[in-house]
Amino acid sequence: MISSIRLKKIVKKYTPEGFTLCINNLELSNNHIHVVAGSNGSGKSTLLRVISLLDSPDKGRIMFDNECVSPEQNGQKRLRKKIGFVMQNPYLFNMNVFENVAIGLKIRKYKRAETVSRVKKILVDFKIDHLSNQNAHKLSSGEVQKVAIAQILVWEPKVILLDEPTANIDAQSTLSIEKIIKQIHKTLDSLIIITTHSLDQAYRISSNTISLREGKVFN
Amino acid sequence: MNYIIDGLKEALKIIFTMDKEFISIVGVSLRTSFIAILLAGIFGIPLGTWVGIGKFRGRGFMATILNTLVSLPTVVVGLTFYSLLSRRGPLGELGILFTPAAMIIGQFVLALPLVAAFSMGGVRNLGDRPFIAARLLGAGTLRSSILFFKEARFIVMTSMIAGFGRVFSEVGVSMMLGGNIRFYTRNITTSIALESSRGAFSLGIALGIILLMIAFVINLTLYYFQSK
Repeated sequence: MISSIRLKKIVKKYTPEGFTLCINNLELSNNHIHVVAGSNGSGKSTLLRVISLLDSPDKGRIMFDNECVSPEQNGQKRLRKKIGFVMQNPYLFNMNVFENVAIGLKIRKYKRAETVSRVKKILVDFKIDHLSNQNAHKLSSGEVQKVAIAQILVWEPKVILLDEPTANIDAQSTLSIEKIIKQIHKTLDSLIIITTHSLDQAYRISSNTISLREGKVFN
Repeated sequence: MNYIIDGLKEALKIIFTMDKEFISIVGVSLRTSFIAILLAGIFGIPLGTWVGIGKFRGRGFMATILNTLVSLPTVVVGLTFYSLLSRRGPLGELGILFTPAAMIIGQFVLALPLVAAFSMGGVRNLGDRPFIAARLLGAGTLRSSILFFKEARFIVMTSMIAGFGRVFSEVGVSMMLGGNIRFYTRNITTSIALESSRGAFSLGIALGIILLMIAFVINLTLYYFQSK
């Protein structure tokens, strides 16, 4: 279990003249579902990329509980296996939906029977079991989003990062995914961070809202 | 007109009776081309991928070099390796001039830039998203690379087939480095050149038919996998 993430003096710059993410001190715990709200270009996705260890910060350090991760340190591979990150435009592999959702479990060496039962269950929960044998490259953008979220939640990550997870999904599906996220937070005790444009969504699911503006946390 | 029809009849007879010389010629072509394209794939696909999605200084220049080398004339490759492998050349001691090994080296050099350039173009369109997606699912570098190349399988296949087409149908390298030795280095294209220069069209036509049929089967296979 990862019960808290702390970002200390994080600086991430993509281009010399471009946008800079600059976070002095931010602590996130698994007691809440954290929603990061902000306009386009405010640094929401960059923040998630840094927390997911996909990108290393130029400066500063991230603490996962008491374990420190800084750009100079190794040992990120083990931590990365505990973090599930759904990007804004997720990529699904050129294989059927079932196989796509099962990849994360295969990587974690789950047994075949358990893999099958977990995948079947989550496909039903997400109401996409009818797409099980369909090639993922033939799905609509809303279906892609659902499969991508299922692909992560199926292996029950300790940290769940969702970058605008319901951006391409209809209202009814949005509510059902929000319900699943809340349920997972309750049952798994995972640390969940979601970015969104929608303040309504922030109010519905968040117990801690973080505002980002021009790369800085804004109160 | 008659000699063409007679040639065609004789060609079909050669094919159906499985003439010994005909089998040897086709065998040499297939053997050398397959080995050359396999080697070109082993080196060319990673090279093309690196230039296609790698982030390093001079990437554009490398891409231009690869694209330029795609149209490398076969006789230039033949001549270069002839001078290197001939007795007086720096690699003369190897004693492989006029052997299938020399043909394979020349064909490998011909196919390498083509395979790399095709991979580069395809992989550039695909981008690094499959690799990142695999990383986000917790895969290490090796597993992410395997998943990436699984995604790029059509690109890989197309590159290999394009390269195979190039080496299977070339004549310059085979003639200069293989020497067109009967039952040893004589392949389909050098044989067609020889037979037609002697006015013996039947074997040339038979080999031409086989050349076309193999190209057709390979493209059909590619189409089958792409439509799956």
